[in-house]
Amino acid sequence: MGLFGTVDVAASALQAERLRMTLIANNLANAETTRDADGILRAYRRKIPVFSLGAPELTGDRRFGVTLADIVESGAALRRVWDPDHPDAVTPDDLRTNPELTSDDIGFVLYPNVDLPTEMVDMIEASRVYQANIQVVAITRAMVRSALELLG
Amino acid sequence: MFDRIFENTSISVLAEVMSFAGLRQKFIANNIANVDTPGFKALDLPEAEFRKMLREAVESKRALGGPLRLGGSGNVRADGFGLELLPIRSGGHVRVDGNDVSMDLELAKISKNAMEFQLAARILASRFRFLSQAVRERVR
Repeated sequence: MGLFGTVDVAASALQAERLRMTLIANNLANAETTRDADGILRAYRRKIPVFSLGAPELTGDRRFGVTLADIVESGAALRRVWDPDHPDAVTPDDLRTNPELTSDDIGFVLYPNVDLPTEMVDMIEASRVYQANIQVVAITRAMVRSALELLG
Repeated sequence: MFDRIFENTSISVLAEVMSFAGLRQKFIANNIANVDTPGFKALDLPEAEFRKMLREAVESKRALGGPLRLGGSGNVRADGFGLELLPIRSGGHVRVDGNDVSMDLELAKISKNAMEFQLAARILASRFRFLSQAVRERVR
């Protein structure tokens, strides 16, 4: 009876959605981050999860389950604020350390392309999907229990 | 003689219902798990076709005798049971990311499917209890 396989399918979704929540939390935490881990002036880019069908490690099948296959950076435009006196404003020196900057950016502070309403909507969606998959596990568990009744 | 007890129509029918529901559960769970997967299209096992196959098998068994045999056209097999059904598309409106899973529909289906499974299991359990009672009854 393939009911245990069903629990693996739901488990893969729980894992994927939890990773997604972590990405969302990271986006929110870094909504104002203007420098990268090495201190170079490069604004944080919104991280987007890419899901793909199949979770072979959990379900043993490429057609069942889901995996967070990739994490990509959003290419959406950064938020630009004209503030030449700000410590994180782009200077000609920064054009050397960060090849993504152009001379048009000088004098601007470039903030992450993280948008709070978008992240909140994604968070609600991820939470809903997580809850639904918890329900799947609970329902399947009830099925297994009633099948065990056959043993007497 | 033992074949005749376990090839009893109602036990076979209940076993097929449980087997089908158990297999279908995996498909519906997969739809729910992949609600955010781009390009994913919801799949399900056709319940109407299964009922038709079951009805035909029962009629054929009544007419010809022998064990319950479900025919079919397709390539989905339930382990050990002679069940062949092709998964069909069961999604709704296709969204921007190419996904067509309707979460609410799938959740409703999975509850209903579980209830059918549990009903068949309960009835089957009581059939087995009845049989084991007959076995245990002391001969005076």
